[in-house]
Amino acid sequence: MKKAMFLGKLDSLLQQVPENDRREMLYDFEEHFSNGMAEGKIEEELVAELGSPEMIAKDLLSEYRPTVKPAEYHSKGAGKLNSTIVLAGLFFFNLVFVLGPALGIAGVFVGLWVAAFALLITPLAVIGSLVVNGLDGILLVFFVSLITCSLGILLSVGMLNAGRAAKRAMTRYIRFNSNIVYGKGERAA
Amino acid sequence: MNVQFKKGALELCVLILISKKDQYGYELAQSISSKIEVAEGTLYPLLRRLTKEEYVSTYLAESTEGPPRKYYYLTEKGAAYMRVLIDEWKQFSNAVNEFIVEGLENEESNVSWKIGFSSPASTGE
Repeated sequence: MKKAMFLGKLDSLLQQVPENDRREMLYDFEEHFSNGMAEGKIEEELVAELGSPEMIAKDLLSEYRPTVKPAEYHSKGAGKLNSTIVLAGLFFFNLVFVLGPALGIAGVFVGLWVAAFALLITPLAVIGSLVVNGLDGILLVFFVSLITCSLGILLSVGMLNAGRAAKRAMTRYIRFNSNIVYGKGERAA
Repeated sequence: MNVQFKKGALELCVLILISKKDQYGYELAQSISSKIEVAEGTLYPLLRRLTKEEYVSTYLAESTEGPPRKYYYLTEKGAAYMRVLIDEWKQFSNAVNEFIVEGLENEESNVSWKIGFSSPASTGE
């Protein structure tokens, strides 16, 4: 292989590098050739000593980071692959560690709502008591149902607040997940 | 020789050569390849990286024959980096040498044990 062929091959392998930087890279090799030939070596000899243009191009590209648009350069190939891997990892993490506790909490939530509802409707027991026992012990039933009903109201208010907090936590967690896959992944790269 | 292995050693050799005196690419390639079998072309990506990381810097100087030469010289940052690499290299090569010596000793005693010239007890340490 001659010098021109070597440089041509290297040039075509470095197509993705902007012209200025590529010129600089190639200049080093042109200088190498002219120095070598000044010492009496022939082109073929120098090409053989330099090694394959493919290997050199690979080294140059792996160490090359453009100064102009780093973001664009990074998101080209690696970004997609990375986010796929992250997505898969996140899916399994959620499946194994998050889904179980989340379902548990949801169950407790539903249970507490049922309890609150039951407490709220205890005053109906006064009517039941009237029908079954007449006026016997009606005062006791009335006051007890008053207490349980107010407990039900308190619990309902509490559950409304808990519901709002849970909703906030859930949206935050979902946003956190999508940040990992899309937003933060790119910023970190 | 293993390629990755060689790359690390090459970086150190290049820094040391440049620290002794400013060098241009071809000269550097000749000095290295006279002692280590290496594709000289891989030197240039390495030099670009060292330049980018500010371990070496360059200037152009006219030469009597051919185009101006790009000379490389060691920066202060590069000198500090070189000293770190030298220390790491010494530690690393000492460790490898120890493994080699131990390995060879074991090999010898294993052989002699199999043949039956020495007792198993002496093969332990």
